[in-house]
Amino acid sequence: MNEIEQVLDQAARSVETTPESDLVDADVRRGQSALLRRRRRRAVWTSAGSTLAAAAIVATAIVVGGSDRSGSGEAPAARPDTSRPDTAAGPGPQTEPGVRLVAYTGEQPNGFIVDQVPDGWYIQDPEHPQFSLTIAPNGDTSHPDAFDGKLVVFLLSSSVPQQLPENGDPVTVDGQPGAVTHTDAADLLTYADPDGRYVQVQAWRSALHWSNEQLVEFAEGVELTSDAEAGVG
Amino acid sequence: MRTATLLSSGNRHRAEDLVQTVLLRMYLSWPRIRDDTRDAYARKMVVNAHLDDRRRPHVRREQTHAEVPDVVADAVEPDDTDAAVFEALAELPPRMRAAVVLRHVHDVSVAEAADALGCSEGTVKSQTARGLAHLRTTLNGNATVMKGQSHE
Repeated sequence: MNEIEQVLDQAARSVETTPESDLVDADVRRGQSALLRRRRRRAVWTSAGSTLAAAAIVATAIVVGGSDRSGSGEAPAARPDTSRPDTAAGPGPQTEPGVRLVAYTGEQPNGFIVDQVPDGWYIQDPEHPQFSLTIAPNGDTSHPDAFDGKLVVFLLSSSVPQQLPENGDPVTVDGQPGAVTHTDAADLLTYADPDGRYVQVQAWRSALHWSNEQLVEFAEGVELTSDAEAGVG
Repeated sequence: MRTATLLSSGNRHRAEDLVQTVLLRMYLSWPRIRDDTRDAYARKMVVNAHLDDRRRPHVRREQTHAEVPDVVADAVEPDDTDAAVFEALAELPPRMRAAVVLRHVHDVSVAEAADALGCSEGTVKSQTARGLAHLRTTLNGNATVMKGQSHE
């Protein structure tokens, strides 16, 4: 064996090939967590696809049935698009406190995967920059960055300490620690997501009076993807 | 893992990725792998994974996060001699590095190295000769490495 082969062989032998058990355990935990996230994401898209397919079948039946009945071939009257607000209506609460959650089947917003929204509410501007998710009552056409009267989700600003509030009500969101604090304007749920990022949900009291449990239920139906970004300031 | 680390010039994390890729591919191909060629097959897969990894710099290997989701596990740092060897290996082009590792660490024949690299035997010979010459020049200029070898 020449000199070069000796140093190459020595360098190869210096490599530890048996990882410690805690390293393997951590890898397995991370893999299981990734699998869980993947399954949840797939379930959301499967659900959305099934709903769209069902809607297409119903729409076809209405068109065919309507033509058969009238015989005129005239298209049925257009139905209002409930996925977008009426532009004529102004902002303001149109829902009762404690609005129940319903499955969200519209376009998924950039940076977020949403399972449920309050009944009669919609996601404002899903292609809006991925810093915040703003959900407003139908009829509220104010700018997505105006949070009053809405439900908002975002990553904690990178300018503030990444931690839970000290005086909040302790809760658990998807097995992760969280805390709910209350101000005059809004109820705030702050929690760590499975990736260790700190997320805040703001339920503004002018439209919602949710309990801690309702806040957690909503938060557990929202996943922040890797495209979600924390704001600054 | 040792071969992958040499091919990655001492980058253990990339080496672990290579090994994981190879294990996955071997798992999927297991029914088609013959017992008598299993080692050669694995060696070829490691080399291919290494060359593929270098060939596709546009592939996004990690996702960006506002907060770092994982931290690097503690690893034993190589001593000065091994670090110098890894640095010298890093100066070789990927295929030349693979030729040197196959011929002078795995001690495979020129024909087997040519099969693993998917090139002619003449190319293996020329790549190996040039790689060794470069390593010799680089490491001869490193007092730590040659001092270490003088005690062997």
